[in-house]
Amino acid sequence: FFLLLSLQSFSQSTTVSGTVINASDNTPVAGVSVVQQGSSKGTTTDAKGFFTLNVSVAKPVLVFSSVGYQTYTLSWDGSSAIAIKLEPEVAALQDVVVIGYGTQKKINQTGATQTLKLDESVNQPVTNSGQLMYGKFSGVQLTQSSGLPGADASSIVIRGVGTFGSSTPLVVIDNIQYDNLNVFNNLSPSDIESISVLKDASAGAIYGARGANGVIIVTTKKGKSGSMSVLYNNYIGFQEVTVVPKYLNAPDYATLKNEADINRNGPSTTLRYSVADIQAMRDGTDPDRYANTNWAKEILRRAPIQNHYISFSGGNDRTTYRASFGYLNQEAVVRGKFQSSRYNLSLNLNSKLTNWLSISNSSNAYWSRFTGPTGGADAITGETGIINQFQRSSPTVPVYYKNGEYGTIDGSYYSVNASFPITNAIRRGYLGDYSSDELNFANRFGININFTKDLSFETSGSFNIFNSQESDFTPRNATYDWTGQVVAQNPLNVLRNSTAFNYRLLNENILRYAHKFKDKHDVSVLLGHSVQYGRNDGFAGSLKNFPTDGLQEFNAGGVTEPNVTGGASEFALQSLFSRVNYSYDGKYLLELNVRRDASSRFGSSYRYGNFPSASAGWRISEEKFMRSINWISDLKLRASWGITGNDNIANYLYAQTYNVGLDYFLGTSIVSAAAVTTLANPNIKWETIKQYDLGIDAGLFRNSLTITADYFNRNSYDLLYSNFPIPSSIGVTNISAINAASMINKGVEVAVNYRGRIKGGLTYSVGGSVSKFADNKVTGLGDRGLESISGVSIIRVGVPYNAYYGYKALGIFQTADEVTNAPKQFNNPALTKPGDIRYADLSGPDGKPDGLVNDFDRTIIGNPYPSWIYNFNANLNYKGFDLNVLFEGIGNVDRILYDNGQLPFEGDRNNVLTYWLDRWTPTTPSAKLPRLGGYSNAIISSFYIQDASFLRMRNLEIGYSLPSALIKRIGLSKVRVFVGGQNLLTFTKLENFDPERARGRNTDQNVPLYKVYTFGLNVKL
Amino acid sequence: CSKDFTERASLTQIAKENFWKSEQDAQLAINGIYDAMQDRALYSGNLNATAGLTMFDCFGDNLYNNYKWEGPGDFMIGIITPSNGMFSSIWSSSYKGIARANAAIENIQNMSTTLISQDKKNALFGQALFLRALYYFNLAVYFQDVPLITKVQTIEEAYVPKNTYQEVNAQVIADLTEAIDKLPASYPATQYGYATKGAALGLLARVHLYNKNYQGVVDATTTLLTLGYSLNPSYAQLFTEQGELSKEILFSVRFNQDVSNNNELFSGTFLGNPAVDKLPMPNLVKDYYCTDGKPITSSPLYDPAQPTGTASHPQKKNRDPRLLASVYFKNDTFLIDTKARFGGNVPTTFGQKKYIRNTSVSANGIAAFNPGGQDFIVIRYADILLMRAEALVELNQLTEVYSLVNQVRQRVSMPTVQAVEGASLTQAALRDIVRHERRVELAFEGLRYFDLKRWGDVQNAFNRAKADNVTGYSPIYLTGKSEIFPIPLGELNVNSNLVQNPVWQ
Repeated sequence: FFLLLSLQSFSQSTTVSGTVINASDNTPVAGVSVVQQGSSKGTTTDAKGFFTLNVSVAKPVLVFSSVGYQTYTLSWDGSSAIAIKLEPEVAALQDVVVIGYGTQKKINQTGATQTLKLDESVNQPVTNSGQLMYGKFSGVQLTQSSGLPGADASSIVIRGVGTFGSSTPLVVIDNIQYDNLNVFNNLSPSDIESISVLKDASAGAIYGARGANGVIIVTTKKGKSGSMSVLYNNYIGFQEVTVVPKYLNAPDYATLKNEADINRNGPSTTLRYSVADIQAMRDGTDPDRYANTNWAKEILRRAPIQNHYISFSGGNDRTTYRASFGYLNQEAVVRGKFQSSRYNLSLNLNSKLTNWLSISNSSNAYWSRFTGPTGGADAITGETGIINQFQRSSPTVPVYYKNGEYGTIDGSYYSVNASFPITNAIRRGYLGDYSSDELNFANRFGININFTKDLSFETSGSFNIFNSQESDFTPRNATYDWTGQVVAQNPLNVLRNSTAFNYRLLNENILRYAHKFKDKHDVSVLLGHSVQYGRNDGFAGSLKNFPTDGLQEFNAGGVTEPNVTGGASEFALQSLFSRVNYSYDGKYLLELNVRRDASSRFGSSYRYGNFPSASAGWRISEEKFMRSINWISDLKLRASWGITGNDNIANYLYAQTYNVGLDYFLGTSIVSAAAVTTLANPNIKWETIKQYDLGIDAGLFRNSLTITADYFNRNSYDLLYSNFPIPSSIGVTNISAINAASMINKGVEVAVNYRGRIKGGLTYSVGGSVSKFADNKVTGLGDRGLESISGVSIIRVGVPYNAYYGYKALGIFQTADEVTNAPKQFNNPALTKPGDIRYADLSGPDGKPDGLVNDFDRTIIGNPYPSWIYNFNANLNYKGFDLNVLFEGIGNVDRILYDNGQLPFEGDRNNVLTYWLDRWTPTTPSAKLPRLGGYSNAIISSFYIQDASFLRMRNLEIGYSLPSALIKRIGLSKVRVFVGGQNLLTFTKLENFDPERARGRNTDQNVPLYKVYTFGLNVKL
Repeated sequence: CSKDFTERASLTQIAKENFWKSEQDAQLAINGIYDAMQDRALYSGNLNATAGLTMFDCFGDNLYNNYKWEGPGDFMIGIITPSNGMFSSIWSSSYKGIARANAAIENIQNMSTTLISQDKKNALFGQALFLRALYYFNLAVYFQDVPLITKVQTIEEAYVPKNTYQEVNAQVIADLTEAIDKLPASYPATQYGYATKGAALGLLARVHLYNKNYQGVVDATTTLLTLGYSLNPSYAQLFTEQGELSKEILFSVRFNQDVSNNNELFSGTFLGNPAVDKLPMPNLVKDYYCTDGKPITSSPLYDPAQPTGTASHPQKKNRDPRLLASVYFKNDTFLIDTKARFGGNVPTTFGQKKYIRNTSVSANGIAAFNPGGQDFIVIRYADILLMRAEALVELNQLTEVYSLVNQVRQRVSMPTVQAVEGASLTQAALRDIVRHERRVELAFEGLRYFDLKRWGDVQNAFNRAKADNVTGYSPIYLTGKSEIFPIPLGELNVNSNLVQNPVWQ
């Protein structure tokens, strides 16, 4: 299509008129400024893109400009119509990356920053927007540890864990800083325009004390001038767990349980299940007492998910707007009341008031609501939670008795321990009511003043308000056996309510200057000042004994045990920061950053921190000697060094205080009490990371092949650590942490992308990246610092942070001779029998093997962090069809699976996974699995460490866009239908459980991860 | 401006620099010293977790710690190690109280009388001294040689060696002497529970008795007899929440069944059996006299032919009322609301009744295995009478001894010494009478081991316990190790100046 101009003659002037259209989708653009250069004459296009302008000369130079489009200048000869297209600025954005407090051309970049641009319709069925980052970045690891709606976010770690505290990166959304991922995760995916990851110190140092874990900068989509555009996206679909664990059926369970009891208590032990009992399980003749329930199958289900999104955007040359509304609803893959929904609202306004003054306002709000049975997420996790009932409820218990009550007791166990019913998972999923609501409202208002072409000033004020409400009601309840007798009861109902109100205020003032001297010296300077204040406030209450379970509010008559707690804390941060960029002739690049922060989290002597960084780049491809090499379009070497800080620690650790939260009972009433209950550390200061990075950016074959590679070395020091030998005779056992520990992370990242086109209309792009974490270890715990062993892991110098720690399993004892000749296994070696796991005698009190396996023999048995993260993706477009596929994998990573059926019949009525059918027995000796119920087979050892490497098809989307000729008739500019899926395929050695999981001990008690199948629609008006 | 902006103080805790600025602050800090006594390892106890002082009758022959891993059970059978949590819990909770007392002692002295009246200052100062003495005395009885810390320490100053028992004891006596001087005889009813002059005198008597300074016991108790204390009319009621304000109590650690941290678990019970982790020993049950004041071996009222599990249970019929107030027998109703009966199906066949709650749910709806509000009596008047009696016996001033013991016996309608054992008894005979009276009067109050150590009777107690042949329980006496606690391993690990007690090395 063309810009059409027609001509009319008047006595002293000429009238030009025409229509402006968008080059990418051929729609008219309203509000385009049309100005005759060198004159005051100008106009704007109307809703149909049409304009008329009187010009003062016969052959004027016309300038067409609009926010969101590249400015177009036309020297009109006054006679002929000229073919023009007004290109949207999106195309130009391809080469620009978002960095801290600004943007930068990718070719001029000297720090390690990677940017992901998102399409206007984001159809990936991620329930947390952070999950859009899966497989798109190098050096970034996301881990989802639960599939519970509303609590299924992934952790994000950039370039390895570099602190003992939280390694969550700083998130900046539309210039507002957030210290957790919540707001990011709750953005509508289709609202996001780009996600940038600032990985090295050069990129992050501008955020100083908050940049140590890396920075994620998110920008949301803004309106573009032109006619109003309406976009509607949706998908509906369903979720199912990625893996259904397989447990023994009732007859196998009973048989193996008997075997375990014999192994444990000797051949004369009373067996739990008689032959007749087991036969009853097979025949189903006594379903109340001897059922055959597959609890995993009963508990898990297919669950629906749906998402709707609509946006309105547009504007003229002065003002643009974009408003959107999103809705997400997700039910749990676990049977019960669990459900999560979210409403999103976003509004972005930008206005140029004069040619030197512009204002902007972005607002983003969400309301998320999670409902479930009493306890909320707690109903599902933990020892007595629903997921652990896969194993903890024996398969001999029916879901329901014939009398309609929930099954709670195993027929044979009843006579042994009647007061120990199972948690009936189905009952648990529907018992009582829990709801939690989160409301978040973020707003930033900015004013920008251009003093000159080179010098501008921006001031902004932002707030983020978070309000949450939680209500948890447990009704009076009881469980019964098959005869109707009460087994257990809870005579009091309880209501717990809590509320939190948190807010953050931020004011930033930035002066920017940029000028090119003598056509070669490109200089830009940024000077900024920022103040931040945050406050968290909240209280919780509980009350018992309400007259009815139907009314669930405090005023509904509860009378017993009123209880209230509450508190507040605040922090403040004041900063000065500056960045200087210098580039000589586009070849030699230099960037310097410095930030000085003052944080309320530190005492007066350690309050201030300085965080400098420097980086340099050499664009070799711009050198004369490279000009002749045509296939190299772009080649740049870069290096950076810098220091960033981490102030993401608790408030007030520096101040010695008296805790007034104590009490005593006197007379007939409670009196308050005060004491020092934690020893403060007045010398507490910033955690610090020193990082350097060497990188190369290359564009080959006219930039159709791009390669980026980085080597990084991150040295963390002054890390907070609290395990120091302090005698408890000092009277206080809680000691504030000391800046003592250190860690190192090193690695290499390589990303390659190729874009191509095949004759016949097929366009495609393929890409991928590999990150290798070469070295991740704790390098120091400070003077007198002690190793910390907690559960399954250890903090020890020279090994990865929280490496798995336990005994080394060498195999299975096959004969009594082997047992006799082996080192004694623990304190009661007489209990060790053939079929038990044989553990290595690695050390002793003198540091040498001492013929006895005990505490001294524990060692590092696994690394919870992967050595490799890799991903690859492909996009194909052909005649209206498109295909998008993304794979992501991690390699060489360990996980401990130590629960939910992995142990050899521990506990008195726990089921096990079906692989235990291949256990060791005298007649079928196994080389891999120990006997059931044996001695010391359930301790933390390498036996339970598994390789959790995986490759996963993270996302697949196949779409078809209807021909524009067809849909134009009904006034639409785009109609696309698609089918998609998330986590559809996983390749892993791990069985029964999803390989993607947190590193802790009982992660097999978490809600399994799910895959999603979707069908959806994108419509644009 | 920037300095002020980034200067933020806690909104829930008082900065150290702003504390000790008012009488209220001083009062809060004193309450904090009391608060430490509510630790599980000290006076609030547990139902099935690490043992606290409230179940220390499990050391010796009164109770059997059925859940041996709680501490006393493993101690009695000789397998406990210095890493056991019981040792470290008592140690750290005691020093927690001591540190709070040290802070109060150091700071209250320095507060000017414009901030706090001299009377108030004396009362608070006296309480801090009393509480510090109580914590140290407990440490000295069980651990013997421990670090004596009397000032607020910095971390650098915390790596201290042990002091001798004599040094610790001297400090305890000095603190109590000053406390007696400073403390008032009583407080308004709303402040019932604070340490009084009587409490300090009572503790001083106990300290002197342990150190065999019998004249000191007599001197302290002489004053005590004039302070208005008296025996509670009902023995059984004294150990329930209804008895908490009794004139018999010189000092108790107070608890309230609420949702704060004021609650206790030593009176808790499971609903199947009364407090199964601590079970009365058969030799104790047999040691109670019959109502004629004679032991079961000689009393005609004792009829071993009666069937167990009935009201005429041989151990129940015609026995000292204190036995029936202290012990459950098979088929006794132990939960009056659910009429739950004790099956006797525990290793010793007996259940503890004294101090143990007897309803499945409290008045405000809280189950009996959950935290409760029973006070634990640290010193009571019957103990004063018997301590005085014991001291007089040892001083061979026998005349007054009869009336002292008789007061205790007559409260429960047991016959007098003269009526049963006769008058003009020898010192040795009276010593036995007083010691027996102490055992049955003070059973399950955590004083038995303290008595046994003082009397040099620990080994015999182990033997008595072993002779009971309780299934699964075979106490082993180990010279030294059975009398002194080891210094907790964790403390030795972090403090190289600390040396393990020689018997545990």
